[in-house]
Amino acid sequence: MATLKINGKKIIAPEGATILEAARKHEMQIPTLCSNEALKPYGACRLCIVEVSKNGRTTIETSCTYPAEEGIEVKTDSVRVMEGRKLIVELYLARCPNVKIIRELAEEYGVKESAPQMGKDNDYCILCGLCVRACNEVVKAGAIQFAGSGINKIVDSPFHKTAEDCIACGSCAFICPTGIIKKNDLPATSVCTPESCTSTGAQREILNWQVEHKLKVCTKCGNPYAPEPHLQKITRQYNFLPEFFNICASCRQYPVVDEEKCLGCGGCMENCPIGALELEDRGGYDKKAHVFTENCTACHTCEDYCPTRAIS
Amino acid sequence: MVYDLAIVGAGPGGLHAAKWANKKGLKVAVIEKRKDISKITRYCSEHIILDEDYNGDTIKVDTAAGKIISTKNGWEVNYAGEFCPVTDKYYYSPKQYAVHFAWPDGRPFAYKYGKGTLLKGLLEECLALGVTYITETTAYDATDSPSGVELKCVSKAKKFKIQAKKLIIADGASAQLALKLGRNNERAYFGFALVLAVYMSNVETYKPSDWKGWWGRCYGTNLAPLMGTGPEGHFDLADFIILGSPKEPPEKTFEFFTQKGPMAFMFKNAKIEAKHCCLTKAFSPIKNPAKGNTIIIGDAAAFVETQAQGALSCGFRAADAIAKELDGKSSFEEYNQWWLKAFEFNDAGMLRVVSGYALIPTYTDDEIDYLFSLCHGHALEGSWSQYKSPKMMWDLILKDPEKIQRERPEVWEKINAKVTRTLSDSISK
Repeated sequence: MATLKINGKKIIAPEGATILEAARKHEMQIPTLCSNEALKPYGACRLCIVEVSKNGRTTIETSCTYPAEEGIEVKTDSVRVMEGRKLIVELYLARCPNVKIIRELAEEYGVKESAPQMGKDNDYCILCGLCVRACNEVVKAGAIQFAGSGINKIVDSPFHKTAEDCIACGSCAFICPTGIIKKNDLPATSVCTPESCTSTGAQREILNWQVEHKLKVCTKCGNPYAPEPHLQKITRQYNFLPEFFNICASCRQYPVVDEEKCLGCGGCMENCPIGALELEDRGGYDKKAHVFTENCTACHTCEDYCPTRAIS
Repeated sequence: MVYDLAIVGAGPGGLHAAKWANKKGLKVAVIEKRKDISKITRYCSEHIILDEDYNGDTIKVDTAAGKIISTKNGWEVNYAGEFCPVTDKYYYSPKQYAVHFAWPDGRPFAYKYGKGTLLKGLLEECLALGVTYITETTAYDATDSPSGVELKCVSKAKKFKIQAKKLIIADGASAQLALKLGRNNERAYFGFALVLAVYMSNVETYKPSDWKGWWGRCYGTNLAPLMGTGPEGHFDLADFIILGSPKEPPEKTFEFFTQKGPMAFMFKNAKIEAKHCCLTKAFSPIKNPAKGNTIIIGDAAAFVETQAQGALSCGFRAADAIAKELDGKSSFEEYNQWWLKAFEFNDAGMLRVVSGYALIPTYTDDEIDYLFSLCHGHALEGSWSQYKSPKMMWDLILKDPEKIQRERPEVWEKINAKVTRTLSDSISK
């Protein structure tokens, strides 16, 4: 626990929190481009700068990496901070003049003209690293990385070839603030010539990493819903049954126990292939089956094994 | 942490194996799904069967000392609960001709006991010996690992793994782990039966020492309704057992039998005290239950059931086999040989004998009346065994074949056509 002041307001921040976290918890706005709750602080975009006064000295710091220390005083919108942010936006505008989110920031901070361009005109990647970090930290696929340095720094697949470790989950495209990662879900197609027809199932392509993967088709509704390698990875990671992903999330209907009919014999529990059922003991003969939906694969095996037809 | 032996299932087989393996100095972990095993939720008829050489053993019961004693395998289990002797068994036809099984001197051929009490005692013994008991946990998969066996477990949606050198699977008739290990591939699946058991008070003609069954379409079902002794502590209640299938739900049969059937008079003042149910799967038995690092014991490897006494013998033998294996002496083959010899269901001929119970609808009610009338008035020797009883019954029916040929040629034809119905026809898949 640490007590600090942000914009003159006394705030108690939990252990290990950063200034950004403490401020946002109290609904104080600090703009960011490279921060995400699911990822470790990175400090790349510099937009979150604030003024920190500590022991009589005042410095400009990135609030996403600076810990909310005891006794410090923080200003999120002082003149120095606003001027600094404006400069950063000018630099972004010089690099990525056509990216929507940058243009919006420019408007917000009254930036009319960009800084002089330095060899990079009209780029779309702001090098925030969200895609790389999501791929490594959350998905744990490690399919993409930064390559090059200085003005040649880019995000890329290894050796600018097909990213072999990519599972086409699409997290990179989802998290990218500029929308430069191109992920397309292609419907099933068949190409027919007078000689023969070749059909390809539904696929997902991510153009940036030169990846193309089959989409798994739900056995119930028949709709393609997620790339196969992605589902395989989750199946391995969480010990799911191989059949778990045969049905898509919207078709997954978890069994419901009719407590009036349930006599608590445990037939469902004994036959559940994944141990997702157990008996709730309510004293005496009163026992009812209970489904843990966290594990349940909605295979409905239990339904078949209920002597009183209490599960559906 | 690597256990010497992991046991899945804390039933009579699993706990008995745990007890003896621990006594042989092994580090044992028992994994059980339920919270409290002393409360039996899955319906069980709970009998100790005294038939000679039944399930490869002759069991003696010392009611005064509270002991169940195996005379052939050499184990003894303490039991702190009550026993109720079962002395008479009747199979009734529609017109109340009865096939009667009893010993002339009136001694029991089975004892009703309390499985919960038995398990509670066994568990307490195991815990006192220092067996690790992991409760409310399902072992849902097993794979070979460098240390022997790796068990994948789940408890309240949390997953973890348990390592052990050897594994005993005692997860009962649903045989889930055997399925995961691919050991059910070699087995024939006959189907399953739904069982509804109703404990009732004030049932007329009910005697705690009787076991009754009613054969005939007029009773509302192809699978004979049965009436036995109530649960331990309530031997005054009748335990009414109905088998069925999804198409012939046991609740419906129960309603018909107690309200409209020929025996409805028994239930005029009867009151339902409690209901239980279960689902029984029938597989053909596993021929080599001990294989690799694993022994599958008890019901998990059996045709329908080994009964508690069979499971106790399995646990006892399996603990011995595992201890020897860990000592470097190969003994799994010995266990397999014992398994094949001890249990009647491993004999294909015996399975055919069991289908001798499937009288309906091969025979009409009138024909069953005739067949049972041939037995009426004779007392067959006291036997519980589901293998020995139908054989004795048919032997008595066929004592005078010429008489049947003369009196009822059409019945004789059916008998000669052998029982063509198989078990799978009687129960649902």
